[in-house]
Amino acid sequence: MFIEVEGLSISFDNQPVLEEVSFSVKRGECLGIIGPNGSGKSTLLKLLSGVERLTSGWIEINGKRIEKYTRKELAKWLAVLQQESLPPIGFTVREVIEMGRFPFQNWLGEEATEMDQLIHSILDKMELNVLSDRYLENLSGGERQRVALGKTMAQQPKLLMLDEPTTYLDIGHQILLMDRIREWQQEDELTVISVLHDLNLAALYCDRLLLLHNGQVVAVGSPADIIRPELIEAVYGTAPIVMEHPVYGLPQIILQGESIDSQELSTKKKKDKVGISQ
Amino acid sequence: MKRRLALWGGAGFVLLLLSVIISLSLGSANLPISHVWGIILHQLPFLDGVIDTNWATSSEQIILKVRLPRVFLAILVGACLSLAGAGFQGVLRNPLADPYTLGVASGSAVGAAFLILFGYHTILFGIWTIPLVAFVTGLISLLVVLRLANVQGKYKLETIILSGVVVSAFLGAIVSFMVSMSDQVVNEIVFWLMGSLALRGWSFTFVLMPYLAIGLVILLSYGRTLNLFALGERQAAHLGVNIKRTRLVVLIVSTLITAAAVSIVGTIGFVGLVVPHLVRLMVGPDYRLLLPLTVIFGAIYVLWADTIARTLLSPTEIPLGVVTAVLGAPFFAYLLRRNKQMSGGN
Repeated sequence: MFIEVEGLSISFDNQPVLEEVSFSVKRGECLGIIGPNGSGKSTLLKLLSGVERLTSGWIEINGKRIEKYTRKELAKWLAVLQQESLPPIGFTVREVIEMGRFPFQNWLGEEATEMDQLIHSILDKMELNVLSDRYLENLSGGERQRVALGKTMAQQPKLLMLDEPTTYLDIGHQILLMDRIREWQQEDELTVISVLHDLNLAALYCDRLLLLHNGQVVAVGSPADIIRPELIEAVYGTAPIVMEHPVYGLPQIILQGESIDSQELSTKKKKDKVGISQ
Repeated sequence: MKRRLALWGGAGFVLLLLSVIISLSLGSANLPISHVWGIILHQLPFLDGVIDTNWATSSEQIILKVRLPRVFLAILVGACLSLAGAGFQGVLRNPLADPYTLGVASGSAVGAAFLILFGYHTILFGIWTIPLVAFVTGLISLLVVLRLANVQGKYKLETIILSGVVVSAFLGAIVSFMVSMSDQVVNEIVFWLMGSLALRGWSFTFVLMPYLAIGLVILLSYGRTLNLFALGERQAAHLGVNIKRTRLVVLIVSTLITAAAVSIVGTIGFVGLVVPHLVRLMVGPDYRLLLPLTVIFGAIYVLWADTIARTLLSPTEIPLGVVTAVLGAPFFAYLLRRNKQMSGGN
């Protein structure tokens, strides 16, 4: 096992946030962590990436306890893509992507091997070639998030953690980002742990899903095992319709609300149609 | 990057050299620039005898004993305060931070003023006593300011400055109280408090030198780290930066060089604010360029501020702190306004 998590518990102000969380992740796998607001997803990711200190339980990455790594060692093969994209600062796209090499540089900022090739291929992959000399402050949120992913690519990690990376993106950017990560996962046997809000994206792009509720693991399994109406309703308090994706055969949800009257809508729709044909 | 550093650094160095020569020739006794060149070059051992000594000995005395040490001190003080400002701004990710707005300068002034007013100038460590004590008191006041500004582990831009103002006002009152209790010549002390480079011999220049050297070496090595800080502290942590250690080292070193400057010339405001921003306008936010260039342009800035201070109303001398405040406060207002617009736009 690449990552082993055992008996993770943590509380803030005597409020338990995570209770006895245990799971493991194989090398090259993509694990999606889903759950409603306040279920402890972000805290779990902070513990896994070593930003938050462990209080009970343990995390082993590649056979070594996480607290045994220094920040710099960890950064050599663990990268994190955060929810909020990079701030609008006066660095160019290329400069920011080069910052991903920081853990490998000596104190003069030099590296043993020339990295121009790598940076160039990343700019290519993320379709940032034309933007490479533009300043971050002049880019849109979606473009900045692409730069952020490019920066994590420059880090050449073995393990990538995503903290709701698509939250502020339009659907075009969401798919672009998830596709690049998926390709990268398959090409380099990258292991991905991703916190996702969007259950449809999670079902499409993750090999396994871990469902969190009130700090506890409710279920772990394939998307088809997890994205079931009764399980979703028990955790989220709303019962969606679950359908099979017509192309990929993966489960996808369609939301339904209580205040929407289906009969009224269908008669309205007929009237509208009549209105158009007249 | 290296080419740009060489280019700007070279230009800055030439500008600094010219400023030194011009500043040396200005004063109550105006000396021709050719004499200034001559007197300086004459000091270089291998040029001895090459240059005609066609100037009066009094001119040589004025240049070498009065103006030159002062010019050097101005350069060092400007370098120290600007570098400290750049360090504070980088590590706190706060464009309005500088030794003055953070209360570090006032904190250092309390320690220094205490020793000066009650005659303990050289107790224990000789000439090094005042800078060391000023460092300790400066550090304490910085800790108090940061403690006050800490809201749930986050430092908001305005709260830091607000805390800085509060602590500075309190410390200013303590200094005033000490002045009123002391039986020394009040005029001299008040002048020191307002910041002045007048009548400081070479010895003070030598005191300042090692502080600047240490600060420069350490802070320059943090250039790339401060660049990562600009992305956000968590981003920096994920790239392998030890956030706590970086914060600690940069804050302590910046306080150290501030304290050294303040203990010798008093509180000179806004230098650490104005200079890094001017350099940022020229070369952008890259701390690998910003830190070294801030040192050079800070030196030029204070050199000219001091030249104005001693020549504008000659023979009356304006305190240097007054000159830098008159130049710096409007700039601070401008930054505050621009910052407000930016955060309002988000």
